[in-house]
Amino acid sequence: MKRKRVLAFCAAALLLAAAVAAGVLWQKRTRVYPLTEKTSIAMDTIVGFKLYGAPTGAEAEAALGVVTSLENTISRYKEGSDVFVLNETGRVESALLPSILAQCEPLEEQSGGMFDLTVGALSTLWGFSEENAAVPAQSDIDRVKDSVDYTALQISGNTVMIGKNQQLDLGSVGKGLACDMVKQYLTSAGVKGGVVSVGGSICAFGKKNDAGDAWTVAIKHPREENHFLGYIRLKEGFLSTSGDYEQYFEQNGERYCHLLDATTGYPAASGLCSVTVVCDNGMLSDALSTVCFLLGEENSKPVLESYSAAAVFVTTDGEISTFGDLDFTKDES
Amino acid sequence: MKAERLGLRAGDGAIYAVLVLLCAALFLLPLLKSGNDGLTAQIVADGKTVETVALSSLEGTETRTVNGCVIVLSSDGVRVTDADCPDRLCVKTGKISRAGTAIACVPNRVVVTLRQEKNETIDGVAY
Repeated sequence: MKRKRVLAFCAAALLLAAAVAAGVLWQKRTRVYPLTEKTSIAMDTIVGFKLYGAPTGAEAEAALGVVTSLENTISRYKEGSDVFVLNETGRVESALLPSILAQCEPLEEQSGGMFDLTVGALSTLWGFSEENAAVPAQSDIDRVKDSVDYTALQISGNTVMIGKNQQLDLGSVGKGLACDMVKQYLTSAGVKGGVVSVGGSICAFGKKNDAGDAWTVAIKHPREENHFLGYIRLKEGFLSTSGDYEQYFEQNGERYCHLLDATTGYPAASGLCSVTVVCDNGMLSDALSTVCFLLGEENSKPVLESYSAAAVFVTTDGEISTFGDLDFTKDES
Repeated sequence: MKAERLGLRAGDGAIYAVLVLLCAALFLLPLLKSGNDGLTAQIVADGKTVETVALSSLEGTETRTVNGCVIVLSSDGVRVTDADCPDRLCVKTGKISRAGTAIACVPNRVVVTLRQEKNETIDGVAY
């Protein structure tokens, strides 16, 4: 009898040991790396860093420095920036611009010229960031539209030259490019993983815990300020959103947004109010979201396919649809 | 009869019950850690967090003025009611009340973000 009792206790002790082991394994599986967070403003938008396993804790601040340094190089409003000098003098020596322009040229071509980085003068004419923005006179639109032409850009080594009256505007690619550069810095600094947001562009990389759980990124609702459109889950990658809610004004009951079709000189009229593109490059995700917004849903699909990119489209009627390999969940709350 | 076959005595059941409870606790503890601690508003100015306010602890409204932005906090959300910036987009944003949403005043370099410290499911927001 005594032997049986000892055996029963042993069995119970084994059960407890197994439970302890399972508990330890569970905790280890979900062990979350130390978190560092930072929020700030750069590139005229909200910049957020959520970094896991940052070796010193100073990486978020340094990453913000990467964004502001890029802003000081590509903003057309920052005196002395490469783009500012190019627009003022027609010529600039730049280590960065030739690569950006070369990568975007195929998209300018695929869009049939609707997407054009020399759209600067047209953006200035529309003045979306000004308090009293209004639809410009047709004669002004026609005059300025003629200066928009990416094929007039000349690149030779590090030298970039722009045509007469042309203005380069990298607003449609800058935030995505910032994500690329920040990711490069953070991974080289030994950060285990994180999510970086620069306005509508997001980079998700690495892991937040040993299990390598996917990242969840919320997309702002294009019409309801306090709501999300939905959530995209991804292990790694870049996403960018372009929408008619970012910068716009209304005149005679019509909404005019900052995403300009360079072929008409007017804001895009594709029937979309928001496009989110997911791909493996930040700058391309940013450029693609603008291109898709201009092209409309159906015409975007071949372009997205050629870049192995996926997208979420929202029409002005509120219809939501997805294209490509994407883990998207609509917000039901 | 069964207890007798195993050689168990009165009181052994209590020991086994404790063991079973210990096992259950080991599995349940990680789940219990993910409670909902309510919304907090993080106010950032010039890249530095100036204040974090637990909204659930508020009775009525509280007002902060940061870099020219008048921020009104209440248990059901946050809004910027006035600002000396030229575009006043921060005022036009209206009230926010969901974790992850934010109000930004770019000219005054102020960001107010709503957070849910525990059980936060969103890693980033594409604004």
